[in-house]
Amino acid sequence: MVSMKFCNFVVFVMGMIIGGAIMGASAGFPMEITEQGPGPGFWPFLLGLALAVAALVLAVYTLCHRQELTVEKVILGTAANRQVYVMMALLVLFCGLIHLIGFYAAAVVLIPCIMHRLECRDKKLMLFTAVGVTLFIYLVFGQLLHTSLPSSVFLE
Amino acid sequence: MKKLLTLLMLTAMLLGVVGCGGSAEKKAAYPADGDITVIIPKAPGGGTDTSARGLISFLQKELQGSKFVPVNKPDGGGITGMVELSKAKPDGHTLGMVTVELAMFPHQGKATVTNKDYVSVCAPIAAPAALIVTKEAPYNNLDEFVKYAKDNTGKVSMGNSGTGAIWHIAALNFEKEFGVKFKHVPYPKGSADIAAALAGKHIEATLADPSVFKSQIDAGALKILAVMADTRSEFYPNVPTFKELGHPMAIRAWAALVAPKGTPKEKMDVLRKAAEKVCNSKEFKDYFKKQGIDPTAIIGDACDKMMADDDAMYAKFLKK
Amino acid sequence: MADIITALGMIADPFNFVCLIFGVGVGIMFGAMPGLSVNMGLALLLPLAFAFKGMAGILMLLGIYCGAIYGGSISAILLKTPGTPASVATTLDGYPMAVELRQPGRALGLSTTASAFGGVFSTVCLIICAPLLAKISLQFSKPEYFALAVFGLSIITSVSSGNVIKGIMGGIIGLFLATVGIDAMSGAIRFTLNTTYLLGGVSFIPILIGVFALSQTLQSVEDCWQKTQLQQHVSIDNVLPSLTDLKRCFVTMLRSSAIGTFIGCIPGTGGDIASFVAYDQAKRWSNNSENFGHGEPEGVAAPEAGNNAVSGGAFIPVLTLGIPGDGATAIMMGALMVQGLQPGPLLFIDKAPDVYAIFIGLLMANIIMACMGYSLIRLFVKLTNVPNTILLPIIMLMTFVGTYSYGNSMTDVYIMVASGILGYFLNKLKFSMSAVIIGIILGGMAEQNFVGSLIMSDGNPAIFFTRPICLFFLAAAVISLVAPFVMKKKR
Repeated sequence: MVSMKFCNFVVFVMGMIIGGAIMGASAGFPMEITEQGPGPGFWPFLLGLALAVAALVLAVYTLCHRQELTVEKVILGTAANRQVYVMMALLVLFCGLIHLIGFYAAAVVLIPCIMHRLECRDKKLMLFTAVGVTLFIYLVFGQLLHTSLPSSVFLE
Repeated sequence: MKKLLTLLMLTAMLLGVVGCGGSAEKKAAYPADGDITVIIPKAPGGGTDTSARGLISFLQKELQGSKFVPVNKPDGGGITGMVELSKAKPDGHTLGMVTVELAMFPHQGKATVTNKDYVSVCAPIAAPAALIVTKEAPYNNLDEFVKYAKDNTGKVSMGNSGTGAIWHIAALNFEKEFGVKFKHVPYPKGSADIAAALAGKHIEATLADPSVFKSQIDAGALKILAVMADTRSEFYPNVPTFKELGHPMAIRAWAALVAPKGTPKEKMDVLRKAAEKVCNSKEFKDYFKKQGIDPTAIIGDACDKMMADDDAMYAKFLKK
Repeated sequence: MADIITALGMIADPFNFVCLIFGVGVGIMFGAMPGLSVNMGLALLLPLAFAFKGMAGILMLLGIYCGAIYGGSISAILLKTPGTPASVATTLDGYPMAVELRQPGRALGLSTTASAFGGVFSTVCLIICAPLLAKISLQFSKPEYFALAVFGLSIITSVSSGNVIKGIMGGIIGLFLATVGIDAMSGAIRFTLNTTYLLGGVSFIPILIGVFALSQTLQSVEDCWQKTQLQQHVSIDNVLPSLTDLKRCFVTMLRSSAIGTFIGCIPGTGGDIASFVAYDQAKRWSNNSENFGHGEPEGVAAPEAGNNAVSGGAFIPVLTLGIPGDGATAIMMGALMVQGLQPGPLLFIDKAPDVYAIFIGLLMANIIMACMGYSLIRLFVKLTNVPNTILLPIIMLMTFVGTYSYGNSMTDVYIMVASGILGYFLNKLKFSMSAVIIGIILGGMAEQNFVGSLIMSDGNPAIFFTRPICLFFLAAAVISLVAPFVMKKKR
């Protein structure tokens, strides 16, 4: 369990870094206001500056309210969170799986996995949902709307 | 038990549908022997997309048994779609639309594909740049406009659809040809915004595709002074071309249906023959004319030549 | 008078009427599914519209147009996933009403009513004062657009339910994301990291789907495991909103519809801006402003009335000037032209019965949309009773399908997943995702019109302060930003 105060400081640091990066990248473009209007670097530079300023304001705010913010917790480490992280990993793996075996096959694999992670143990329900949803997507998106969902990289 | 039964039924349905799809793959002649994907590198609903879908539907009717499937790939400003098309298998089952940006982007450092990566079927639209001004403007023809621009160097506001985009290039070409200087005002959202700006008298002129401005021109709120084309527009037969007035400039925003280089000649011939019939048919011309677009019938080699000519022209102009 | 009767005859024709109903149905479905846009629906059914003779095709397209703006609210309320960018604001109070207050039926009923109200209001405005509104819209040039964008950005402060500072940071990030790609004002290529993908700018829809749909699903996974979301079976008594709700929201709906109609008639602005401005103004003028973000009925009615009011408003420049306001109206303008109707100043003179048919068609489309909405509410509410073990995987899969349907690109899908994961953490840190979205939506409009104004004035910033409409919106933006702090101090 991390306190909001700590998180705010992380945000502050990130804000300064990103703001600075934006300012730096914008400086590579012409910035003066000529008769053709401001150069392409002008507006992003202002944005980077604004972000850094906002990050500073956040830091000041966090210091002023440090009592309440230390008490306020950001829930990142509980068992429930870990399940979410597993789910995130599953989704990333799904992207790779789509590439390998094609969308429809990957979908039929993914749905039971997610349901299993959500504590469903009813095998028939998992199969039913997997096939049913994939069929629905095939009929509506594949046939009706002619969206050609990716097929396996081996079939290309 | 009930669930199992429903599951079996669903699987049977699935197999049935797949089976139906499969049975269509009898050995038919091209192009009826499978789906033809047409990659449209723009978002659905835009000018290029609607024209493409129109052309495809006419082609499908002409080529009995064929199925054209339009696929929109607007990512990367359309370049991703064009690149994907150039890399597709040249078996005649993947076609795509390319626009005049294909001739411009390589010389602006934005893309690596050029017209050499494709062979064309036809170009249904090739909108010329037209000089359009407000009704109250003190000039009524090209010469008066040029004189006014020379007297007011750098002050005449010329709307375009984005710096580096086609109408801006047209305006730069104009500057070079006539020795004038404008104030270029970009309207990135497109020609409709330029039309609104002209109607509201926020800018004085534009060089752009006249089809969006048609309602305003017909109502007399805007004047069209000259057209950068080889022949006069059918909508505005009284408007001279730049060529007639002694300045042979031709800047067109074309969109062409192309196939990746290497597609076999027989298949290209089938497509080109059908395109020839379609582009010269009355229904096709009516379809575009009703939308205020001047349809063209640039087929096959003529289309290849147009793409190559434009590529050379932009190469010269943009390499400054 | 005879023209109106002819027009009514056209609508009463059974085939035309069926086309209208079909269009509304398709529109609602396209609107409800994230990733499927109204432009996509219109483009897909355009060949069908051409094949039909007479007004049938036009009526079908009108139906799709009105239905799609409404459809987005369904997924916004039930799943916190806006089906279209115009429904993002509806998630702010619609979802809390559906989940925290366990009143999804009430939220859907309010949304349907407000949407129909907005649509009808704007159509009436179209009929009565189109030329006047068109004249006003012609006054808008780049400084006015910039001021409108700034005013739109000032909404970030009211939308940031968490920390205002973080909301502003989110908005700035959104504004920055909008600068990635080819700068249309200078031609420069900015921040693309040398990839072709980013040349066209950051893909907005994948980010929208990821940040709302996917991150919400991940949050639901956590809630499932925390057992904090007790799945209670929700039943509804009334599909129509109660009299108290109607009384509470009437002024809001009126104001939001006016805002939506006005914004709709300005070319280049659409339902997304209208819904945010309507929500913001509703919150500022409401007696219940603290309740916003927790299921306040005004917070549902305002954005829905605002975004549907755009439908009538957007037709004003189309019919009076022949200038389309956005992609959807451009498609419909094309369809009108193919039918032989030339939109523009000459239209009312030459083709009165057809014009009246469009008016009546719009009115009927909104009414049919309301009827469909009401009749489907019970069905939709049943969806919320589906157990999470089935619902969550389906939603997750649909985010992939929806994102892919949008641009046929796996890169979009990767961006969507990344946004979803990032969105989950940002939500934990009390960042407001709506603020980021507003930044992305308005970023282009703000910067391009800022730069453009300075081009027009040869670099002189006075242009922003010498034009009345521009000054008005800038002042309104400042007042919007400052007022809450001033009010707090007074207490």
